[in-house]
Amino acid sequence: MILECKSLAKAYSGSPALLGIDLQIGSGHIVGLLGPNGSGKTTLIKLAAGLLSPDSGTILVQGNPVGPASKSLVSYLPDHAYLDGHRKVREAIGFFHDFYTDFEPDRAYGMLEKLSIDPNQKLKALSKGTKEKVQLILAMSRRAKLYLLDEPIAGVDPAARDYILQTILSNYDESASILISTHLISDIENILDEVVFLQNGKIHTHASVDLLRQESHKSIDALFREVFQCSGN
Amino acid sequence: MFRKLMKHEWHDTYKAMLTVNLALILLTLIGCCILNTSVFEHRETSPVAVLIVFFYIMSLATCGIVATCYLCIRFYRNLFGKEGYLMHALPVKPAQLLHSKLIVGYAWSMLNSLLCIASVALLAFLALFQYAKANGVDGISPLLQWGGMDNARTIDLESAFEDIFGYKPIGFLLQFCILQVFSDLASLLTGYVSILLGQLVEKYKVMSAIGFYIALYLANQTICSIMITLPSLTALSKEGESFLKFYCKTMMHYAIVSQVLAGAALYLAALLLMRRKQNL
Repeated sequence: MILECKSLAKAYSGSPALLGIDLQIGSGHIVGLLGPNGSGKTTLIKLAAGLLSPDSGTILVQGNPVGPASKSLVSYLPDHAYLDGHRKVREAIGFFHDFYTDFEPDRAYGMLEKLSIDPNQKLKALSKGTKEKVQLILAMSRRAKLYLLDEPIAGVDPAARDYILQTILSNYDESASILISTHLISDIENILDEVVFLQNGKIHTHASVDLLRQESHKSIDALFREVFQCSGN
Repeated sequence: MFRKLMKHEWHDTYKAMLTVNLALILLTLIGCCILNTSVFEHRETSPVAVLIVFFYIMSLATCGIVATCYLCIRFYRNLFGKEGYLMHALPVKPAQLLHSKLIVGYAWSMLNSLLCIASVALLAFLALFQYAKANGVDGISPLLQWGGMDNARTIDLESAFEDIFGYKPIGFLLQFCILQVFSDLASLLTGYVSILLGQLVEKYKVMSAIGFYIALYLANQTICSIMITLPSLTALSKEGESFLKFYCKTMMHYAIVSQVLAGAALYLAALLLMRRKQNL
């Protein structure tokens, strides 16, 4: 198993964000983490990335508890800009290259060129969407075992989304897994192998995309709308 | 990994800290140039001279405050602001993050303080030299006698200084540098520990950190004040030796010990707080 969560719980100031999550993700899967606002998607991703500590339960990344060993296997992309704006794109690549042994700078420069992003530009001079593209390029230029992508396409234009999804598909190792959190289900459902529907901090559904489509005769997007509309969310 | 953390910390701080330290050097050079003018020699220009000295002292203080504030703000933004999402996702231990920032920040703080001391010492020496040039070497004698140095008649400045402060000038400067080196560590760690304590609070983390800084600063100053008062009690019972001489000599040791203890306590607190569970 690449990611294993057992009875995972987390609360903020007494209000629960995750309630006893049991989740297992094997290798070679692209998993969509879907749910309405406040369902616990970002919390789950941050727990796996080691930015939050669970109140109870355990998380293992390829058998490692969250720590330096698990962090070297995980490539994390937050849902907001997190790089120092004074750094140049080239310097950010140098930073990743220094700390992650699985980072491939040539792949990063290749993607930057395809998206016409100047590596000598400072990050603060880039638009919001371009910054997000740079962050995604950095995350996907690693040969990680687990990619945790929190809203990777939310801030980019529809034309760039296709390229980014292609980037995700073509840049990950077959033995690795990707956990993608997003609201833009229709854009990504074609690349997903599995989906996890989160509702009020609990797993509502965890199944293969093909199976869900077969059983419901609906797209994942339509199914999501149906599930969460019925529940009043 | 630790060396890489240090490398990037150095790279990210050198521009701002170099600017502050270059400003200090520039300030000293300007001071040297002003001392070579006649502004301190005439009674009519004395208000200007007072203003220049005031400006110089304020500038020195500003450089120190700016350097400490910059290092503390960087610590907060880099570890607990948006950049924390990058730093805490790195495959390193939390203690390594603290140590890299502490070592680099401390190196800059020490450089800053030693430059301040060198600046004051150089300008004081130049001022004395200028005074001797204007009034003759004998002219220094009444000045020092006015300051209470009886040996000044012999123009043996070292002995005169030792008579009053219990140290030769170089010895005093050395002791002061040692004190400054340890108090720099305590000062930087006060900022770091305040930020880490602020993270324990649910809301208003920055305001809480400022509150913790004030509390820790006052506690350190109070303990240091009590410790440097202790030798005066012993000095009062001493006969035959000047109170000031004995007090100055012993007080410096007590002050150094108080800063070493404060630094050690704050370091342990910072280490403990960094190791607690992360919640960004």
